[in-house]
Amino acid sequence: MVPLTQALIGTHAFLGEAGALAFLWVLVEMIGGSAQAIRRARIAAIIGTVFFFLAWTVGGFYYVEFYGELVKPIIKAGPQPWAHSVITETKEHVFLFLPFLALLTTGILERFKNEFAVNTSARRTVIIMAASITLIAFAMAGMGFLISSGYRAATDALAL
Amino acid sequence: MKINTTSLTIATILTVLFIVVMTVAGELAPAFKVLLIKFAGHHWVAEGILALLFYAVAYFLFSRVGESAYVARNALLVLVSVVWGGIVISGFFLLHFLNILTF
Repeated sequence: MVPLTQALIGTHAFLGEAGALAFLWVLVEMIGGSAQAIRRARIAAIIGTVFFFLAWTVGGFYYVEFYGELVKPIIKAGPQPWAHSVITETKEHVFLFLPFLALLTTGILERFKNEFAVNTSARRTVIIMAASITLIAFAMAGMGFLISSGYRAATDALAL
Repeated sequence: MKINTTSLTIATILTVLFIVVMTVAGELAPAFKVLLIKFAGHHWVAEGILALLFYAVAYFLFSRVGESAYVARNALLVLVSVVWGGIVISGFFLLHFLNILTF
């Protein structure tokens, strides 16, 4: 059976990556720009936004209930304490930007849903926002990898 | 109801700034961190709840602002605030880790 902590980390990572992919989908659809593509982009943006809020909730529950007590002290005592002191501290706060950026992009898509064919500025805006959200979300995944590496390095050092 | 994207943009920029200020203030002023903990049991949970409330209030307050035609320029301002916020937060914790910034 998978321990609850691993299930929470896995679910958090899945939701975050799925959110990133949903906004990559938005980006691709907006480059296409047909009426059908815009309809699909609106659906993808809503899915991505929901995934980010769920990733926030699940990751937050893990962070508050388990990370501070079980993981943080081990990383800080290990050979890569920066994994917590810099990476986790940055990730936990910068992540908070994502749901709001997703809401803004979804809002722009809904507001201009019938105007993208003529309003190239709005279309370009959604493309730039979706690309930025995808990059930030993948950067979060990279930071998650660094945190896990810090934990592994610490437990490996303890085992030796 | 029509979404006001200018209000949404302003709310997003202000919320990013609010998150940055709460993050730094929570580390520099222990009394503020205690307040956050008292509010929600954990400072990070409090920051999240307050950010959501702040976003909703900011959107409501600025929803009377007329819709700007400069959607792309406004989105660029959002991205500038996000990059700036990311640099401030990561730089703050990096400088603290390197003992260049002590508190």
